Amino acid sequence: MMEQENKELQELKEQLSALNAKLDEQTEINDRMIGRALNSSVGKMKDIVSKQMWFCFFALILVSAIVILQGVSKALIIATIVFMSVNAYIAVIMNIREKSITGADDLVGTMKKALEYKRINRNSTLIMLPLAILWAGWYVYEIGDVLGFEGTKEYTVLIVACGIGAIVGGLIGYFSFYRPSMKQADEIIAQIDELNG
Amino acid sequence: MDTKELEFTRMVKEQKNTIYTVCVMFGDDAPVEDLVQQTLINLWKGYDGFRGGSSAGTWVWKVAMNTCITAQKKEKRHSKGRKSLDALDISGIDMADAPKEDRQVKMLHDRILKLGVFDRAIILLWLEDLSYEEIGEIVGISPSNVSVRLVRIREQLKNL
Repeated sequence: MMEQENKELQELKEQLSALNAKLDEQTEINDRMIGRALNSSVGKMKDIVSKQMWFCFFALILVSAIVILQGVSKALIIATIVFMSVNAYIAVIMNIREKSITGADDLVGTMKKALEYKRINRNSTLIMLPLAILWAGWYVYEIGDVLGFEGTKEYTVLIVACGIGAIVGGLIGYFSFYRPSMKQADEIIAQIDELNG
Repeated sequence: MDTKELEFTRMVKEQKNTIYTVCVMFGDDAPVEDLVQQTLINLWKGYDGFRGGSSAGTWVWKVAMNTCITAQKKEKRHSKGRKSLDALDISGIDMADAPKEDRQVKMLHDRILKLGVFDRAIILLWLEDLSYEEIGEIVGISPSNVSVRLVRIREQLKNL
């Protein structure tokens, strides 16, 4: 039994030695890669404020400008600005949290931070998605009124299409994003619990 | 290059094998070169905090593993396959015709990938002859837990 166990481990050690031999012979960390790393801190702000965050700020200004120009109600304008601002704020928070994950913490600490990041991301999506659908419905209702479509067949088709789109989008989001993410998080939590006895 | 940059360059060249081993064993489908580059960036960003702290080897293991684990999901979305370095392109190795060394690397890769993330880390660190204390520090568990875990991993490996 002991002999068999040692054989397994000896085999693994030999396999790792083979990998190290290959790495010794055939790979190097070249100066170009090191240079890129050394230059990475120059654009620190650029790194922290990612494209997604800029997109949210751009969307805040653009969408707010559009609803103001279209002459919708003041309530919808305020709701739009509040909704888009919250969206941009969440994007900032998520960026800061994401950048804090890859540090020199231990593996369990990093995984916990990553899970917390995912949890906030998931929850904010769950809150923001229905709000986005409500906002879109309100916007369609008001814009139909502004354009004089209210009561027409096209307007009804548009409202029904928006409703179907929201339901289909919600289902796709749930099955392709929410459920796999929950399953993965549960697996990691189980591994951490097992590790800590 | 100033002194700090020269010290950093020397350190990463010395720790080259650790960085590549982690990127090969933890990257799953992500391109190895991209993971190595991201690891170097994270090492440089944390270099001021490390100087004078724990041993370089332990610190590099931690940063490299954290980088690979957190990068996995993003990389999978952007890459269609394991476009890695030729020297480490083990995904398509034909076990019958490949040289012994390649076969051994592929066998190690295949066996290690069947383990969970933490078990993968523990067995690799143990194979690299790190002490239970060092393994515990990197993974974030007590040395006695490392010992218990290693017994279970050995059992698992026997059944693979």
